[in-house]
Amino acid sequence: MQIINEAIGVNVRFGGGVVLPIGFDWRGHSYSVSRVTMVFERQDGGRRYLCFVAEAGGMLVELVLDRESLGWRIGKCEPSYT
Amino acid sequence: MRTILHIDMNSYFATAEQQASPLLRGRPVGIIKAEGRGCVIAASVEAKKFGVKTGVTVWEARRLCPRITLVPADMDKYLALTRRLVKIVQDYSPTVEVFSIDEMFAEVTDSQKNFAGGAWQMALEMKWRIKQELGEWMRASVGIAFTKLIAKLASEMRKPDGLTWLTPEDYLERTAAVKVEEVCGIGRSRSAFLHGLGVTTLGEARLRQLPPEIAELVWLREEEPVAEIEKLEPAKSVSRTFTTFTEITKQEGIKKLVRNLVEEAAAKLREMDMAGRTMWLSLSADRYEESSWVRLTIPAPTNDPLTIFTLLWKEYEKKPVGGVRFAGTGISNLEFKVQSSIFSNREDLLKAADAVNGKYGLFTVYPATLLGGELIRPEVTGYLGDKWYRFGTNQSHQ
Repeated sequence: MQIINEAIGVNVRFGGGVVLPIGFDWRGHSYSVSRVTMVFERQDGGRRYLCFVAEAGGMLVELVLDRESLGWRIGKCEPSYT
Repeated sequence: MRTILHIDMNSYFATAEQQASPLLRGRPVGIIKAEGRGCVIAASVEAKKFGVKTGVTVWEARRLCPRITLVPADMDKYLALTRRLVKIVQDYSPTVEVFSIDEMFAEVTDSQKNFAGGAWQMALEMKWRIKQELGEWMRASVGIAFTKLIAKLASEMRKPDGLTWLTPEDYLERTAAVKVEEVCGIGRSRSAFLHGLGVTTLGEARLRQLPPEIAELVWLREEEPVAEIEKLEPAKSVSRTFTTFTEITKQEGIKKLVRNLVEEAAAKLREMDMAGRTMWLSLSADRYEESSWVRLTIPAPTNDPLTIFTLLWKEYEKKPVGGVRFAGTGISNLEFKVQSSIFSNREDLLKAADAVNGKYGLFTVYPATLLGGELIRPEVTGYLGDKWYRFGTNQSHQ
């Protein structure tokens, strides 16, 4: 996957104690998340990030939620996924 | 009679990548340490069918399987899945041993009595929950037996996604065809010894008069308790090794590399609230033609990277090497909550740096000597040498 690391806006659904991304805007386009294939946590020093690997618009992306600032980034992307 | 479950995640790293990226599912996948690295550190079930094994070179992997997809390892991903796996297994037993990043033992002798269907149903439910909670592509083989050694062997007998129960009545017969090197404890030299006698399977080995320590393993008599997470011992040492892409020949470059590794190891010590008295440094040139080994012990424990680096570098400079491909450093003789000198403000400085790095990410603040190059960051290995810190009850020390 290519490293992107760009701040983005993400639409999420809260429920059952979990947060799930359902869509995001990136580089002028809106993408719907069709499936989240994995959720995991990254740690950098004491900073924790919640990562969602998701299929969206024919891409595989890693959406990253900074648990401290609650900001979202698109961490990585596999553009030619399908 | 004890009942022990051994849970072994199949082709863990590669399967995790297939779980994250559905396009890789059903395809041969090899996990490499990083882009440009020479060895495959894990292979998917599909790649193994082509003969791609852990440790083969990328070149060899491509020769064996030209369509293999090589993916850089993402240890955060694997460790997060392991944490989830530990939680699942702990729901079935309070006595769980994290053997490595993808293997664990659970003693269910008592807890199986509270579970309809006993250990067999427990194992089936665990396997189902692994798919539910880790991902539908994730698979585990489970072995059930009355010792750890036999449970581990049982889980190896049916892969992937297997479930095998070896009982006191049938384990000798059912393991007779198992290759001697598959038994945990029979390593290279013991295998070579047995092969030298013309013995390849456990059944053949049992017909021979063997040294007692090998006979114990061949007859699967070894019986160890499950080492509970709650009773894990704190780390005895912290070390960090790195193999460079190309040989570093300038002393300035070697110095930077060593300082980087020392910074990392010392940061890990401070994270665990520990400090050590013995430190070592190992540097080797390409093909180990030239090497340097330094080891020293100081009277008072330290976790200050500057102190550790200065002492090691001073020793190293007495007999420097011309080039470095492999570098390793470590600190042992560890102690908790060490008070540093009241006449030094280094502790305050390190605390401030750790606080910044804790808030904004590792190496947000780092020594100026490391400026102008790519920083080497910490990595997790499958062995999990710091499992006490990652999974244990270490809250009292934090």
